[in-house]
Amino acid sequence: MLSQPSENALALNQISKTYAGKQVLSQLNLAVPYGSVFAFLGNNGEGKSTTIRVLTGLEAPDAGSVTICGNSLYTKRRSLLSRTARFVPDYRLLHRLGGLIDAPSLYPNLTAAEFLSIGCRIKGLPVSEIDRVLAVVSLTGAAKRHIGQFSLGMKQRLAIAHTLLGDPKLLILDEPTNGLDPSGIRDIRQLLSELPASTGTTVFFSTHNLDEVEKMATRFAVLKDGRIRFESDIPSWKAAQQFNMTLEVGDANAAHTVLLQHGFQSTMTNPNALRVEGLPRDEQPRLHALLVNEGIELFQSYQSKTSLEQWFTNEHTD
Amino acid sequence: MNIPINPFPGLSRLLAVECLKLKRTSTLLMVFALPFLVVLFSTGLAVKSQNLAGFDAQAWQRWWMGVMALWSYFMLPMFIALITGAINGNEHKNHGWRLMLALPVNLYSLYIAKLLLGVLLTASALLWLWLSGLLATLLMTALGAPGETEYGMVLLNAMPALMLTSLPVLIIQHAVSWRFGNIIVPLSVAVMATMGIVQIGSSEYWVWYPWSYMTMSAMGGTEELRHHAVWLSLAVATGLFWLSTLLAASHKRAG
Repeated sequence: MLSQPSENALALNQISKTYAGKQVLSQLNLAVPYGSVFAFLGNNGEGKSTTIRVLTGLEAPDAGSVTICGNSLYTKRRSLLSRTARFVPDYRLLHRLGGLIDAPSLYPNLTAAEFLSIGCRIKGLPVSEIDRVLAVVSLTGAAKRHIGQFSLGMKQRLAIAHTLLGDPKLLILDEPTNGLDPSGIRDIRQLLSELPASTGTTVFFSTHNLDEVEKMATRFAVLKDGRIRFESDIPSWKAAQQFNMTLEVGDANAAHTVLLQHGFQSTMTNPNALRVEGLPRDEQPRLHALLVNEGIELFQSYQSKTSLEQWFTNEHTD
Repeated sequence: MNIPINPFPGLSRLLAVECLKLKRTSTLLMVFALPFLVVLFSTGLAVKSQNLAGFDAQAWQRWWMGVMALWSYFMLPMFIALITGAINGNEHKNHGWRLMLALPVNLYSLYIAKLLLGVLLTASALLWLWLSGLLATLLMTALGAPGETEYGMVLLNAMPALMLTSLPVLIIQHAVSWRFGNIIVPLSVAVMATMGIVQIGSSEYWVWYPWSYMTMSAMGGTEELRHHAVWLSLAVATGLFWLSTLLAASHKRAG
């Protein structure tokens, strides 16, 4: 009997994986809370896809453990043709997750409904599941159309529908918006960000699109050299973000002196404008009040924040 | 939703899924077209070389044996390579392995289900070969040839043996197609192996050459030889089945 845990839908503990002498994953630790939309970031070759393959049972790790809904995915066993024991996935756990790896795996000769019936038959689900998941991904009208006639976005939605068969507790998606046009990206983004609330499914996805992470994830982790280098939930990350401000004032020189006296570093860009960099969000009202109280005319104030993309680029530039 | 935890979907369910994947593909067409072509070709040759009114018992025997020879020497090995290539190629081409292996599917069951589908399609093609032959005899009789029933029944009785002796080749071709994504590989194996049937199949070394078992069961000179081919096939198929299943699983899913 599989247990029902309380904290994390997915947990990786000290996962290591080596390919042809190259360490791809090195003692990787990660925890994905229930109900989260978890983004897994990293440059190409950092081990994202390998991690996804390990999570979906396609590649066994060399060491460590993967826990899905409180149950260990791998157990060590010795096969008939091997002298040493290796990790073997527990197929029962694959009932609890839906996996989409790289490009969608579809059979163009089948209709959408026929394709979904593959997962239904294998998981022993009623045929009504097909209509349910097609409705979730807004493909009800296309149930009887051949997949070969589908657009890339429709194919991606259908592949996601397949992962949703049987209401899995956890979805693992490898770059789900890869190759989609803007409207396709918007559709998938909306679909995935609404899933935890609508179906109770936890979503774990890898991506290169950092804008996507800010817009749909609740938490993210950055993988570098096979290890997690940074992990945060999006609200905390946003709260900790620093802003740059441009102030249009009557006398930039006087404003600069006032700000300096109160510990703010500013740069004059012209006699009526100055710039303050690296300002925490909660300091902005104080800065405005300070200038006004000191009799400095404040005409306008613009702020710009560091996007996740800028932050990620800075972090990954050696 | 409360999902019943069934570790391995039954073989019958997997087999149904594998059948579904072939829907609207040319694989099913091959099951009917290739046996029909063999009969058509043999009939064309017979009609061209001899007046139908003079079709005696010997001519009928030659005709039926011609059909069987063309099928077992050449078309059956190629047919097996094509259908096993199509069954596995479906996954290679459409990234189906990733789909199937991310589902709660036991790899051994998947391998066996695909092999079973190959066996079913081969059996269907054999049956259709016999039916096509029967249709051809009816047509030739209608066109003036004397009636024939004896050899048709003899060859119907030979079909189970032909099916059993095709098992080692089915397993070999299935294992090759499972392993290699490029259809050229299993087809090359089939072409090269088929070329060897004539030389090795007619020598004392035929027992070491699984491709010769089919011709031996269909065309073997004595009853004893034909039985020998069947028993040998069963023994070889059993060994190949276990070995290839273990190897196939270790290849597709590391760990």
